[in-house]
Amino acid sequence: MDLIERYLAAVGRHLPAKASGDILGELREELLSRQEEREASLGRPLTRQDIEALLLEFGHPLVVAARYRKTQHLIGPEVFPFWLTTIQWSLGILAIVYVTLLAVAVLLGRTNADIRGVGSNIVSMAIGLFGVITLAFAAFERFGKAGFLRDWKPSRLPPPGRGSRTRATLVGEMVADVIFVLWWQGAIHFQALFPYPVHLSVALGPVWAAWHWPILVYALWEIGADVIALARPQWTRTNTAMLAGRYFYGVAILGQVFQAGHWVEVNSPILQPNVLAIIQTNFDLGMKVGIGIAILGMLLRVGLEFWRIYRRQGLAAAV
Amino acid sequence: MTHSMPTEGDIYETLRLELRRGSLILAVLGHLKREHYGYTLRKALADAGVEIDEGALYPMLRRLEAQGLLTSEWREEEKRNKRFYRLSDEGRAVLGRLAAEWASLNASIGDILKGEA
Repeated sequence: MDLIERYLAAVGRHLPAKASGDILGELREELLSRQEEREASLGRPLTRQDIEALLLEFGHPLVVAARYRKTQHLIGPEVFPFWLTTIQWSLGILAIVYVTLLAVAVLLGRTNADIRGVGSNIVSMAIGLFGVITLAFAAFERFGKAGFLRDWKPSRLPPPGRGSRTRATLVGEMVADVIFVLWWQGAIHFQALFPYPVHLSVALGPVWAAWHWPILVYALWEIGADVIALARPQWTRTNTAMLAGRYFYGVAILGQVFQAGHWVEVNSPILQPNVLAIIQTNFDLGMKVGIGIAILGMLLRVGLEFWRIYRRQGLAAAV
Repeated sequence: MTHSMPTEGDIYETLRLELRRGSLILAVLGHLKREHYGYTLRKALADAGVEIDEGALYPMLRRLEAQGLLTSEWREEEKRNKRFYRLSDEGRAVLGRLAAEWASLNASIGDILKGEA
């Protein structure tokens, strides 16, 4: 009897106070009836061990009490896919951002302590992010899911087939653009990009300063277009127009830059002028090829996007 | 890390429990046309071939009462306080509809299993 009362008290600690008396009364009756039934079948009173076995069969007090709770799960099966997708994307973006920061820290020649700091930050950030998202979805499960699950619009789903750019590509592009803008505006500086055995400085030529602001506008345009493509993938025409416009604009800028014929300034206090001239020529040749490939690549991408739209419309018309 | 595949027995047991879960409410409501307290209800269900764990039964009884399908009262019997349940008028109406649904479903499944559908 003592064990049964102790068991019931343990169950009661996890029950809502309002219903506790009622539930415990009913459970007591069930346990005593079961005890009587077992005593009748054995033909003797139950020992302490018998009662312990009976209570073990009945279940852990926390589990027994939990069955009376109104809330049986934090995030139910309907909301779970949304939670999982959000967690995957958030942790994925966090990983990309931190890998980028780590790469920047290495390029900027930061100390090992700084790099270790980035590593330990990502763990605490990931745990924090996981907790915040889970709490938000638990609240959503309780208070907001009904309307959300009912009010979604099929017209807002992205078009079928694999898009020209995946979300990972868009996020990667955005991160790279942000770093570029920071560097372009002089907020961060890279060191030791050219690990030559001699003192050699390589700087951008004057043509880039002349096109500084148009190039900044291009990078900001790219970030804005990626944000729209991520948030509204179903806006196919807008996204294609943003992409095509951006590439045409990029081709126009690079076309002008290409005509300069001289893109980097190579200097060295110790190299002979004729050696330096050869290096300068090779760097400029590399830049010429690089800019030419970039222009061709942009034109190719624009053509590809328009071909995709043409093909998609053709397929839609056929259906 | 190794993942043990569920055996055919495990799969059968899971599906069997899923199949029975939905019909338990019908069995409980059906038995409560007559008054029962928890322990005798569980025994009566077991005698009829419907085993139900008390961990599932008592919360279910409370939920059905909160939904207005059952009424209950505490009474002393054999020197112990017991909570007796029985169907409410609303519960009787819902049981009638559920029983019709069950019969229809049972007939349809029967046809499918016989290959007549």
